[in-house]
Amino acid sequence: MEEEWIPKITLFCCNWCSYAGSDDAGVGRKQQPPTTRTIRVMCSGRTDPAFVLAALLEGSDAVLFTGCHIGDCHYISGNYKAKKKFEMLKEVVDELGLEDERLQLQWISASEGSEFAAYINKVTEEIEAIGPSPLRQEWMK
Amino acid sequence: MKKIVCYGCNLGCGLYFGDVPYFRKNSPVNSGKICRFGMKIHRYEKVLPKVDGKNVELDDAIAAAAKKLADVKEMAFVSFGDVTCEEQLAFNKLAEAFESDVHTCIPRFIGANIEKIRQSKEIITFIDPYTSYPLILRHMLHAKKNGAKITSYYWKKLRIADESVILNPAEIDKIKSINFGDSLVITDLNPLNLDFSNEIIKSCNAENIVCLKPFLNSTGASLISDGEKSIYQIFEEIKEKKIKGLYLLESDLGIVPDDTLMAALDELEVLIVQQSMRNALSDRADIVLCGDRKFEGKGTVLNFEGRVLENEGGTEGIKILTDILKSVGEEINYDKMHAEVLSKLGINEIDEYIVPKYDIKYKQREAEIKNYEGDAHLVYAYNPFMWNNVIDRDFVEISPSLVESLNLHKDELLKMTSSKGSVAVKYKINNAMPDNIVLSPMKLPISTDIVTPVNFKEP
Amino acid sequence: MKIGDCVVAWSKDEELRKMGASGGLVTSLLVGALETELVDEVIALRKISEFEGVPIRTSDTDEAIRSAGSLHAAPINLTKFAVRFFEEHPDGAIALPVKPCDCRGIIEQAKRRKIDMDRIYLIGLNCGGTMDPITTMEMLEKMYEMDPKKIVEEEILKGKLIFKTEEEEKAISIDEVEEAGYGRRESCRYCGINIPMMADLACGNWGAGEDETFVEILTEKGLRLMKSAVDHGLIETAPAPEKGIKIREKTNSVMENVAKTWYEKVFVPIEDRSERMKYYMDAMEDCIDCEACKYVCPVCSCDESKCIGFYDPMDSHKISIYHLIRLLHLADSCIGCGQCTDVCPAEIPLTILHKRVADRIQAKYDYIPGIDMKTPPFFEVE
Repeated sequence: MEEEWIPKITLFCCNWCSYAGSDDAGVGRKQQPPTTRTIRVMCSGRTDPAFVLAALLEGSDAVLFTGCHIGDCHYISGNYKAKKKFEMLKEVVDELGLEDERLQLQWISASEGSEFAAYINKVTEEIEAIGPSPLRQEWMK
Repeated sequence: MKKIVCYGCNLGCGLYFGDVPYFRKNSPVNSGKICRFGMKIHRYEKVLPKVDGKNVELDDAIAAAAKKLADVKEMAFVSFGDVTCEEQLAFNKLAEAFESDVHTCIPRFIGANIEKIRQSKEIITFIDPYTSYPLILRHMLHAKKNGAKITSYYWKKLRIADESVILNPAEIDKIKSINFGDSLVITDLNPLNLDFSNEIIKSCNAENIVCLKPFLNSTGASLISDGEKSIYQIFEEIKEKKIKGLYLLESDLGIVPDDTLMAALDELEVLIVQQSMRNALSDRADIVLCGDRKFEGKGTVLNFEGRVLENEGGTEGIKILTDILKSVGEEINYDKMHAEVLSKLGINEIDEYIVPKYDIKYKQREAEIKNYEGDAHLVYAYNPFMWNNVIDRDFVEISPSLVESLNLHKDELLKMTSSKGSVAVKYKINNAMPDNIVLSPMKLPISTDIVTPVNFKEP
Repeated sequence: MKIGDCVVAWSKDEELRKMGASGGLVTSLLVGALETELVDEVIALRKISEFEGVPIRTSDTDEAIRSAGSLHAAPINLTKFAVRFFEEHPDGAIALPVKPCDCRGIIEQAKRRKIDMDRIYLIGLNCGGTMDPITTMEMLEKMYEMDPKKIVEEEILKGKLIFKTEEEEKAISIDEVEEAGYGRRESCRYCGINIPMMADLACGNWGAGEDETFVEILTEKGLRLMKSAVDHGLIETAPAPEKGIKIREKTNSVMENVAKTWYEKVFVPIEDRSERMKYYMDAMEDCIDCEACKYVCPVCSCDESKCIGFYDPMDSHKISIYHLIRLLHLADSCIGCGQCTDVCPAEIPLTILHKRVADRIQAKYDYIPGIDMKTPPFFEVE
């Protein structure tokens, strides 16, 4: 039987803000769909573009970069680096023909649990609307 | 930097070599392009001269070899052609001195040339150019760009082919009924698949076959040496004690899929190997003579088209043979050998941009091609790494639906059982694979032939 | 002489003046740099035939002299040879003749600390393009009806590609041969940087007379090179005539325009997303994992390469992550030199793929790699 496709979203969270934010969403019992696979990194600056490419090729329908708000980085400038990496990567991914929604950057602080849940809801809806990623092999589950 | 020819196969790809390879862009076959094997040709462990397992000086190893050659009658001499024509000829002289022939294990045959591929409108291929003989791919792509229709007969779908016919080991004799017409046929002639290529060569016009071969100078060696025994025949005769001693020149008998055959080597009175790479064979030999690394031998090389190429380097390999020949009172040297090679080829000087004409009769084999039993098969897909016994791909390829039916998860191993036992290997999922075949770029201990019937049940 | 001057110069050695192209100046400068111990070694192409040049690194002046003569059909980028020199001799100094793409590669490597710009002397050569030797031989047989082995000299003059043997000389317009698929390499056709203004000297025959070279002195190092050769009695110079300067400018602008036309012809944007995805996927699927493109790439500088580290032949991805990481890594530094396409055994048009991505990013950040020491956008964090 064909299994129903549910979006698979890889989420890179920084240890200090966005991971705590997602925790806050959980503790606050905010409703969110089970579409995300969270990977905790110490700083959003550690999110290597190669990780993102690997996630896309391994069957993620979208990849989200999240981290502390600009100016709030635990390591002072990590999120500036993340932003730069994201911008470069975005151009490449766009040139390759992937839709805008499949790679996103969002700053989430430790206390923004409801914003976090709302964001995940929004992204899930967007991905559901555009369907599975063209980089995903048919047999990938 | 020296101008050398890649020893990965018999395509004759030219490159430079200093400490590392560099691209020789005016090389006729490959325009300076080299495959992943060519990029790594220099990366291997060199063997040291040895007698009975002990490291010795090269001169002592040579003396020991000369003595054994004089003592042991019924010696067999084997050289697949991983050496220059000059060295092969010197090896011939050595075999002659002991009243024997040199066996190359590959029959004499030269077919169509590269230009013919480029001009073709219809191509039938029996090889996978992505893994074996990769530098032929660009010529096929060129033909395809100019509108050629490519049909492949292989164990999986090939991307380059417009039509992919997947071979079924249980009905392999169906290749007899292929209508080749005027199509250009690309196949290969290697010591392990002689019956298969025999079937193809005899059913189409020699001018329409591009016949690739696996070793640096397979073509040159087969022109120079007269021995006709196949690799399996040699093992057979060792078992029957018809062959009591073996002298292998840069020839690893370990390429045979069935490892148990190698046990026959223990029956020998003496096993002399002359090679530069350290491998299982050099570890088991009684006497190891080491020359230049495979790409460092000076001399002439013939590629699969019969194109004459020059390899710059030293003459250490010939010097070893010269020293042994001295013990029987024969004098040879590089220059003498070179002159004789040129006169045998009927040319005055080497011009790599011209393909000389050859008049060679292919000697048909008697054997019939046979089908394999069973529903699922392990196929040993050869590539340049295989004939140099290097493993750079430690996984097999299988189809997504086989993975599904066996309920395998990522990072799990695929378990297979043959008549020889069981093995668990890493696997790669490939959409181009049929469900009944496991394609392995490396030799697995359970294989009994190029194709081995297997099942996926727990033993 | 001072920085900014334009002069014409030639070798004093009569033999060298005939042997080398345009008066043997570049060879004399290399010899001068070695003799005055300005450098430890030089890199040059040893000419084997009109279609073969072997890159050599030497400290021997005789060897340097043997490298005299121009080669249009030996498209080799010398950057990685310079990188290897600095790996072996971190405190050494080296001089080499550079086409604009060699020079851009060297500058990009210098930004990544693989080359010390203070100790590398770049003798820039004007470049209208190079040709692939095998296709050129084919062109000679088919279009010029000449025997490639008999060619003694080749030249590009006034939009024509000229070949000479001992007996005859034939010229066909570059447009015509390129229309037929021969002529310059694709990457050279759309390259608009013809005079290496980022080198220490810019040498060439545009605007120079018979057997002499037009030289623009661009840097302190360039001046040092020229002075040492003059002081050593190796070369002679004269001020460049006004007319010569004009001719050089005009030739350059003609070449730039040709490049622009080619660029528009080759880089037709693919508007549709899924078409683009299909285009990249399709192009890269022929890859046979040789890694030659990485090995030869003049701007690739990782010690432990991420493209190889993340790639596993066991993966069954729709696009190879090796190429994706390379597309990203070279996005700010790709100079479009064409080496990767040249060495690709599967004939993947890698340079075009890389340039399609890189041009977007380079335009976005207003950054042109290899023309100055400006920090690459990747390394620039506000």
